[in-house]
Amino acid sequence: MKTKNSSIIFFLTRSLFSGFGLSYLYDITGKDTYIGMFIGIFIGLLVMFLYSKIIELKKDQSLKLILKKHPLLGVITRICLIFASILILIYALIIYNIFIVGFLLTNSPEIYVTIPFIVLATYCAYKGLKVINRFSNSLMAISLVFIIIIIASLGTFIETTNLLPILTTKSTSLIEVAIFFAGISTFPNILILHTNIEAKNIIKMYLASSLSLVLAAFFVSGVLGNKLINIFRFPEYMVLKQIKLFQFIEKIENVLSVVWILDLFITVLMAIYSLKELLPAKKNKVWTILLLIITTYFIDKVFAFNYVYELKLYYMLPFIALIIPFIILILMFITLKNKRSTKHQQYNKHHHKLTYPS
Amino acid sequence: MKKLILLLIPLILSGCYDYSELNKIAIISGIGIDYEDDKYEITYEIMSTKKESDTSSSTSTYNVTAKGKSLAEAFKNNGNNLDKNPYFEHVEIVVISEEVAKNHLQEVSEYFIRTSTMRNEFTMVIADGNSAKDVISTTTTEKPVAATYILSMLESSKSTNSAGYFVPFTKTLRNILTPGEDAIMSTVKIKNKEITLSGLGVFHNYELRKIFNSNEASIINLLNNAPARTVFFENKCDNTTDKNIIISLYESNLKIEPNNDYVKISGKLDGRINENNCDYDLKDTKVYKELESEFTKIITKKMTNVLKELQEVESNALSIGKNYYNKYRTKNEYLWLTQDFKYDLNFKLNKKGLVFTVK
Repeated sequence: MKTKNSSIIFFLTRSLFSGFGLSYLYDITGKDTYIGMFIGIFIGLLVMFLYSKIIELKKDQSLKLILKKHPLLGVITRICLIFASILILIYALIIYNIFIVGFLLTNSPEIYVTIPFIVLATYCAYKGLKVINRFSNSLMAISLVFIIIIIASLGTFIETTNLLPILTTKSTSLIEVAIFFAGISTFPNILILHTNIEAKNIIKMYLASSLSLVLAAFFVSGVLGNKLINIFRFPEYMVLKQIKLFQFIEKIENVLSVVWILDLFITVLMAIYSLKELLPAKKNKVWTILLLIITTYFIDKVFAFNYVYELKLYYMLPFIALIIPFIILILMFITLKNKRSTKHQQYNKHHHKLTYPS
Repeated sequence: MKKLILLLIPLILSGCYDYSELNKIAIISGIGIDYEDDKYEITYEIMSTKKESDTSSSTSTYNVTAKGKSLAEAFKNNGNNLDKNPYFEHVEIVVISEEVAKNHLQEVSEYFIRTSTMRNEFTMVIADGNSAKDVISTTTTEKPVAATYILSMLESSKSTNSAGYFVPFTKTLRNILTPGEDAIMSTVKIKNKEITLSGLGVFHNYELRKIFNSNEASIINLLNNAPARTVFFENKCDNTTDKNIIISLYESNLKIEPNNDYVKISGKLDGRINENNCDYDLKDTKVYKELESEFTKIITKKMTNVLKELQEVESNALSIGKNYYNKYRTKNEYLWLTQDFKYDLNFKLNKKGLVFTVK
């Protein structure tokens, strides 16, 4: 049965922008980034439309069941999806790690920060989609309240001179930003292939989420200016430091930055759910937990605060975000088409038998 | 549900690893940075967390100082003077010496924006004629925290002499880094063992070029559309007497528009009469016209003087270069340095006080 609940998309779309995505895009077009991002929404909508088509084609069946029916193609698609889920998980956890240990809990070992996050996400993931949706709905309310507070409070800090003159970057750079924005915003949304969200709601929620990102980029540029947005690693966090609610409640950036953490949490949760769904059914829990332990160990020992590897991941993000969904989309469409044609053939065979009995 | 609560506990408690008792941290409210004999000298103003009965002194702050060849070394060495962990989140003011402002601001900025322990929302001021250490250590019983006192002084100056300028350090840095913009910082000095506001320092990139006195500072604030509610001007009644009429601007909205030939300064200025020691009949409308015309000339002259000085020191403190770039999209930030100024000021004397004449 199709569900109208699409709040997961709100978080997934935003998840890879904090620290990674936004900084990357600012690096290309500076203060004009929000324009490129706005154009990118239309490309992103196209990708989201393709995701919704897949959801529509698979009907009420689970992804795992469909992939099982195709011995070779199913296995390849499954491997690609597992790979994509692991990559999304790694990116989300690394951003979370860098943000928490870099700004909030500067003395805590990374592993202390990661483990409770993963354990809670795994627990929720095993409760199934119904619980995930309910959880995501509750978090979305919190997230929206915080976003409104941020927007309302930052409005007075915007200096138009920081945004002027408009469009000083090359049009090719703007197109580059638009494409990368579409990629980074839609890549984590590959995880919604496990759900049965209505196409209309997918588009609506993606639109809302990506507009919130464009607004964030606009506010950050307007407050920090063309130079500072490229200096700070987390410009969207630095900008929150200026907020003074009602002219006297200050130093609330850590509270307001929870919006980014919520995005990351739902992304980690969905990535774990995806892994759980795609890994072999036999001893599924063992496989999933083993994979999570390996991933956590890998992040802790290799990526977290190893700047060389971190930079590599940073520069690879837009390309990964564009290539992997592209491959998965092709594989999924072929698989689903095969399924339809197999069904069609079976129906014809059956119909033929009935009409012309031997 | 129980399981969920059990799982939520470690997530919430993971923050406890960083927990520090209040009496184990040294809350730093202000920092002074000097540079002497090829060494940085860092002075912390630390809030005392001891109960008043535990301390022999009545002041609520104390200072520690250390030197180092680099900023990082000086900060590190200051740790040797502390029995607590330095806590920089509450730093409100960073005082730098003139020497640092002239030659070492880039290193200081680099250090501050790189460190994750500081909020970068502090205000930076220049110690004018004194060392930064002396300024940050100047406290009295009535003003026990120098950093808080300096900040309050800057905040209240918009309603007193309009000579203060305070913005978060991130904005100062943005001004330095943006082509066509330059930074402005307030200057403070010690007078009769008390900290006073002495004017504004203007920069060219990372280099302090000139310190304007507090009268000129209010004109800069006026031109910069910074909150300046009391900018005073006076005019002699005639050449034979010392008597004068004093007005102040209480509201302004000015635009500085450079073009290829000259720089145009236009906008609205609202003034009030503060003192009328001349025999002006304030019931006569012609008098207002005359005064408005006279004071427009005076304001224009004072503005030109300040702008000429800025031209001399090549400072884009009023973002004239950036305005040019915004208009023409051509990077020619210093074209205005050789140009003249034209004014289109709409000055109105709207308030005259509670009386017409006092005789």
